[in-house]
Amino acid sequence: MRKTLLLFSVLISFASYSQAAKVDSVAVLILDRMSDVIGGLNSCSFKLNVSQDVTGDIGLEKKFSDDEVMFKGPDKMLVQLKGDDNHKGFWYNGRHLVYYSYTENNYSVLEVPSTIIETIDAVHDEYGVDFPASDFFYPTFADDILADFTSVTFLGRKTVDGEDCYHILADSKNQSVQLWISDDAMNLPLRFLVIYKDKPNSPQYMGVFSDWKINPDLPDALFDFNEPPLATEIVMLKKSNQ
Amino acid sequence: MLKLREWAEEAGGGGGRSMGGGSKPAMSRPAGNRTINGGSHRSTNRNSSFQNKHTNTSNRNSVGNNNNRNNNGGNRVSHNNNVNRGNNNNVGNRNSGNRVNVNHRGGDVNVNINNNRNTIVRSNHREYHRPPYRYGGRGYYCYRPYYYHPFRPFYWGPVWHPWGFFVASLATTAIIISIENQQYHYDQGVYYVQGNGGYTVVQAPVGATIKVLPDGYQTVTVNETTNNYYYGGTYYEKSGGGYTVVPPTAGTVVEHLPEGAEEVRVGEQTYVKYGDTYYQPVKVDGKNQYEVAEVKNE
Repeated sequence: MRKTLLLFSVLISFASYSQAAKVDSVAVLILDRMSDVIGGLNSCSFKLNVSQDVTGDIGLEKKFSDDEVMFKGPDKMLVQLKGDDNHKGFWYNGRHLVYYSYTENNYSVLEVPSTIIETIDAVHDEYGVDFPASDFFYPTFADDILADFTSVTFLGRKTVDGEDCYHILADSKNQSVQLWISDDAMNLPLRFLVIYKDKPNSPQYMGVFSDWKINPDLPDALFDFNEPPLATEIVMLKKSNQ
Repeated sequence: MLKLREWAEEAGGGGGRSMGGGSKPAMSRPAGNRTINGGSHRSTNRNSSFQNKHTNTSNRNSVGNNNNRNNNGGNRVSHNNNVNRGNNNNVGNRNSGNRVNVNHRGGDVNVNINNNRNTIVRSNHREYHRPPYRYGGRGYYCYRPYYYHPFRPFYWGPVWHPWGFFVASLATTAIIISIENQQYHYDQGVYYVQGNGGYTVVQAPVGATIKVLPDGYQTVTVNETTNNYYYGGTYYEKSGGGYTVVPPTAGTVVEHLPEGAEEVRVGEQTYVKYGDTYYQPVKVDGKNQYEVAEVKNE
């Protein structure tokens, strides 16, 4: 979702001058509540099951990955991504970020800023890396949704996989995002769906959260990368430097 | 959209909303805030009606200014593509113009050569039947699917040397080849330039012609009508006077790449870069090989 928000932020901004957004206040209250809870966390971890359509040699293919994310504020992050054709991990300890490919047994060390969000931003912008569900962790998440979509609608209370949740739809000319946010004390995200309406065949990206842990005690050593046997360090090319 | 820096300045370091810890300016992150994102933040210019009333819709104007993203790119150290190898020869900046800089052991010897690039890829006229791998506004075109295997430099025997290698003297079999006012010394598949009391190995200059291919060369297929001859990272084409150095052609597959090549992560794929040429690891007839990728701006 993060990538899409980035891609269309400029287009939406132009559209917004001539067209006021339709915003459902209940939806905004829920988004704000979710952001407040996330913004108050000192640490957290969750799993994310991702299914997404990607363009293959013939047409759209469905790809899956099981991701695991751990944050420890303000400057530690561990991300493990195990897809059907790629297994990789990211270790961020506040000084640098290591991108390690389990599949290829090689790694790249990137110099990055000193906080989680700045690092996610920098690595996305400079290397095109998308971290799973990172949009939810931006402190201005609700504002971002309001800025990037022409309508934000509360679709009601739903029950998904046995869990009560709020269903919210954010829509624009280019993309549609649906959010399912838990209807309990924490109001954490349960799942989200992005539909890229402007791309051929309208590919989708869906993430399903599970195993949320709130303020777990995560040791600092968890976020330090230890070079596996026979692993090689390789340079990672910046998008702008080829 | 996300204005980290602007927001931090706006917050002025108070209210518990600033980013915590680290080496950034104190105004943006007071000590003690250990949250994962510094705390949630709401725009102060939101229409208050939708915060206080449960109306169905409300208008939200002037979102255009929220779409700027400030990135702290100036703080990051870029990795260069210098190659450091165990023989103490340091070959660097190969992709900056046509210049090869060689720093010899002591660090006080520099040989600068304006060389004809032999690693800029020529297009193959065959059509690509698979989409390129796209990264950073460029497409990496190959005829075969990506198949990763670790890169191990190949040595073509005791008389072959990688770029930057320095020798005090040459064998009597060496010959002199002049290309565009630059004199090269050629011996058994290796090209040298003279200077600093000896000879330094450089890229084979495009256009150089030799009578006999070096021992150990391989014939590689460029397309249905053309073959190249490959030795030590250099491609030759048969010409009237013998065999002439040419750049690699997209789609050509080779089994070995020399020292001086290095693995480079391009997005989520790992290529081997040798000079200006990107080689995609592939598997052909059950063997690990490398295909010359064609990189196009898109």
